[in-house]
Amino acid sequence: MTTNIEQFNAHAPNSWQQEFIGKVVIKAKNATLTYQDGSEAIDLASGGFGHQQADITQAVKKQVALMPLSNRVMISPTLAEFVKTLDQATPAPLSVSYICNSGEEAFDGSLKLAKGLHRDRFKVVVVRGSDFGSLSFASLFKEIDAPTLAHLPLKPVFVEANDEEMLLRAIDDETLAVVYEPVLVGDDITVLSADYLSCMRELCHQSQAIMIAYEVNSGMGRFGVDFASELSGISPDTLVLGGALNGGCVPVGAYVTRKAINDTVYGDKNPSLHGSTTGGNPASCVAGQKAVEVLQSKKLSARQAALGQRFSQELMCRDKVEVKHLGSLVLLNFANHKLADSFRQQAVAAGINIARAKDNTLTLRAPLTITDQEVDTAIATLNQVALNLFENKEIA
Amino acid sequence: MNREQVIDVCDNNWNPTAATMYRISHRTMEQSAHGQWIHDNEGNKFLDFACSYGVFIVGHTQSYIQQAVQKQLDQVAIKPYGSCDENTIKLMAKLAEMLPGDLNRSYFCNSGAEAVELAMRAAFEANPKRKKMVVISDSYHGKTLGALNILGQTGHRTPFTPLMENVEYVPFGDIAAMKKAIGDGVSAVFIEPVLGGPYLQVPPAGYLKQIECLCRETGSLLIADEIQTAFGRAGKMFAIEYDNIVPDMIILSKGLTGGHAAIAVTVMSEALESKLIDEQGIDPRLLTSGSGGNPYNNTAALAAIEFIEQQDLTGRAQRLGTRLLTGMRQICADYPQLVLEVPGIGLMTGLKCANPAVETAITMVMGKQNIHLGHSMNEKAAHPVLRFYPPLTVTEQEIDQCLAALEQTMKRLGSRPKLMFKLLNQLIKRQYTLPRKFLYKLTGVKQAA
Repeated sequence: MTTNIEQFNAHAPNSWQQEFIGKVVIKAKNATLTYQDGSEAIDLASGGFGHQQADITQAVKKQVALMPLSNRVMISPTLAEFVKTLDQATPAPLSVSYICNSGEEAFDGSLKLAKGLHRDRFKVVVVRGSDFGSLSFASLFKEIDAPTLAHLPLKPVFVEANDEEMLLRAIDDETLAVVYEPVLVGDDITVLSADYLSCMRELCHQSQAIMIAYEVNSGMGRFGVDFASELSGISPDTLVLGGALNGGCVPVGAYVTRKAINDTVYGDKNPSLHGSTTGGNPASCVAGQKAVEVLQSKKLSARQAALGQRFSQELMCRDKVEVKHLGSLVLLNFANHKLADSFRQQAVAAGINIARAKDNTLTLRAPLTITDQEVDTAIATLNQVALNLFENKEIA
Repeated sequence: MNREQVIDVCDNNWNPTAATMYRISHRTMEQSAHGQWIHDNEGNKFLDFACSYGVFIVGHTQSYIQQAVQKQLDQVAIKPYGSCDENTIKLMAKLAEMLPGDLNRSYFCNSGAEAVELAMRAAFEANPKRKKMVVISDSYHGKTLGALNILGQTGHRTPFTPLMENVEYVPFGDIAAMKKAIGDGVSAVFIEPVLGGPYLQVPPAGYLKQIECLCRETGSLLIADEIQTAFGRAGKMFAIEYDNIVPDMIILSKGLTGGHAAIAVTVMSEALESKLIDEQGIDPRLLTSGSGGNPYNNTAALAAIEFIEQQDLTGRAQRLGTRLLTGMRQICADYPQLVLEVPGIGLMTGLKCANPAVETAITMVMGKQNIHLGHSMNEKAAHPVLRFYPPLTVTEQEIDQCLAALEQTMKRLGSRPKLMFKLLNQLIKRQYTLPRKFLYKLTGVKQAA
C-alpha cells in the first residue's frame, strides 16, 4: 500500500517538496503541531496567527454550517461587518477595503487599483528587500532571475531602504506606485524611518503615485503594533493585509485604501470590475473579523514585543550567534550558511520547526498566540541544540 | 446592523456601485443556505440557479462535506510551513488518478486567477524564447492584474490597458483562426473547453482535439481552464473528456470544494514539471502560492469529489441538463425577439439575450418568483448569456419549477414592445454614471432621511 509520504512525493509541487520535513500533520493548537507518527513540534517557521483560537474557530464553524460561500446575488452582512472592522482598525484616512482570497491577491489588487488610476504609467518604485508574496508582479518585484517576467507590463525601479536621495531620483510623474514593506527582514531587521517614509509620502503626493504598504507579514501585531505603518506614523495610500488576518482558520486578504482613490477608479463603474468568485466569502470574512477582534481584545501586539525580548535574552548562544529581534520576529545570524543549516536541522529533529536558512540567517516566526509554555519549551530546546552544535554535547 | 446600515457600510467602506445596485434592485440580506435553496433575513427562500457561476456544484452546505470540514476545522485549518495533511495528500493523489496522461502535480492556489497566473509563469519559463500567448476572444481567466493580461473579455480589461503585449485573441470555435495564430513563437494556448461567462458557447465536436494537435505540432503548451466546467458541470467529470485531449496544465476551481472554500489548483504534467525544474532550472518561488493548499480547503475538495462520484452527479448533470435545456428551448422558441439562442451542455446552460436589458428584465422577473439566475453583470456584451447553473443535486421538480417561472416570465416580457427593451438598454449601459437620486426614483427606493 502506498504511504502518505510516497503519495506526497509523487504529487506534491516542487516548492512544497523542497521545504517538506517529512511529516503529516493531524492537529495543531497555538504553536504546537501534532503529527501522524505521534510526535509533536513547535512551529517557529510559519508565523501566522496561531491555530485553533476558540473564539475564531467557533465563529467560523457556525458560519460554515450556515453559509461558507455566497452565491453573490444578495447582500452579505458578514462582508459588511468585516470591512467596517477594517475601517476602524486601520490608520486613517484608510477606509475602503477590497476583500480578496489571499494577501497575494490583495497586493495584486492594490496594483490594479493604481493602474486603474494611472493607465499610462508603468513604473513601479520598489524598496529593495521587500517581499510581496508569490503572484506574478510580486515575483517581478522580488528580483527573481526569470527573464520571462519582463513580459509583464509594469517595470520596477529599485531603491534602497532609508535612502532618501534615491527616492528623490526615482519617483516622478511617470511613477504608477511605490511599493514597500515598512519593516524589511533579511540578515537584519530594517525599519523604514519616519523621515524616509515622510519623503516618500511627499513625493507620492507631488507625483500622484500610489504609496502601497505591504503588511501581509508585518501587519496584525508582529512587530509590537497592530500595523507596522504605525511605527513611523506615516500612512500609505493603500495598506495590504493577509497572513495572520486569517485567524489561523480561513485564508483571507484585503487591501484598505482611501475612499477618494477607490471612488475615482471604481466609483462609477460596474461593481464586478474588481470582483472575484470567492473573494469576501462569508467564512473568510468571519475569520478575518474575529482575528482583528482577538488581536485587539487579547492585546496580542503588545505581547509580541515581550516575546521577542524573551527569545533575545534567553537564547544562550549569543556569543556564537548574533540575535536580533523586533516584536516577536527573531533573527539568528550564524558565521556561515552550513552552521545555520545544521542548527536548523537539529532544531527540527528536536521538535522546533524553523524555515530554511537564507544565507547565514535563520528567522524565527512564532505564531501570535504562542503560549508562554510553548516559548519555554522552544527556548530550552534551542539552547540544547546550540549546546550540541557549538560544544558537541548531546541533547538531553 | 440592519439592511440599510449594511448597505451604507458597503457604500462607504467597500463598493459604492454595488451598494447602489442593492438598493435599486431591492435586494435582501443572505442568511443561510441548504441544498438548492438560499434563505434571507426576512424569511424568504430562493432557488439557486446562479450558484456563483458554478461554485455550488453539490448544493449548499452539503452534509457529507459539512461533516468533513467541521471535523477538520477542529484539528488544523491552515497549512503549517513544511508539513502536509492527509486529506491534501489524498486530494493530490485523487486528482492525479482522475486526470488523463501524466497530469499529476498539484499546485494549489487560493483562487482561479492565482492559478491562471501560475500557469502563465510556468508556460513562459518552459520555453523562454516563445513570447506569445494565444487566448480566446471573450474568454474569462480571472481579474487579477496578472490574469487580466490574458483576459478575453475586453470590458474588464480595457480600464487597465495597455497590458502585456504579444497576446493574440482568436474567436472561439474557429479552428482556421487558431491555425493562423499558433506558430513556433507561441508559448501556450489558453482554452476554456466550453466558453463560459456571458458568452457561453459549446464548441463543435473535434475542436479541442484539433487545437491539441496544433499545439503538439508546433510545440506550444496547451492549458485547459476548467474553472467553470469541471466536476460534472458540463456533463463530464472534465469537459476535456468530450474530445479526449490531454493538456499540459489544467486549472480547476469553482466546483472543487462544493461551495465550502476558496480554492484553485493548477495540475501540471509531470513531464512539464521536469522540464521546468531539471532543464530550465526554474526558481521554485515562481511556482508556488504563499498561502494556498490549506487543510480546510482541501478537505472540502476531497469530500466534494467523493460525493460527486458516489452520487454520480456527472450522469445526473447529463440527464437533468437535457430536461432543463429542452424546456428552456421550448419556452424561448416563441420569443426570438428576446432570446436569440439557448446554448448549453450538461447543467451549464443559459439564454443568449437580445441585449443586456432583456437579460436584466428576465433576471428581475425570475427574482420576483424567488429564483436566482447568473446575471452576466456585463452591460458591454451585445448579447449576454443569462446563465442557468443549478447545483448538480437539483431535482426534477426544482427544474420544472424554474421552467414554469421562466414560462411566466417570458409571457410577461414577450408582451412588452421591443422598443421598451431598446430604451431600457440605453439606461442600463449608463446605469453606473447616472445620478443615484434618479435611479432611486425610477426604481421606487425610499431614501433614509
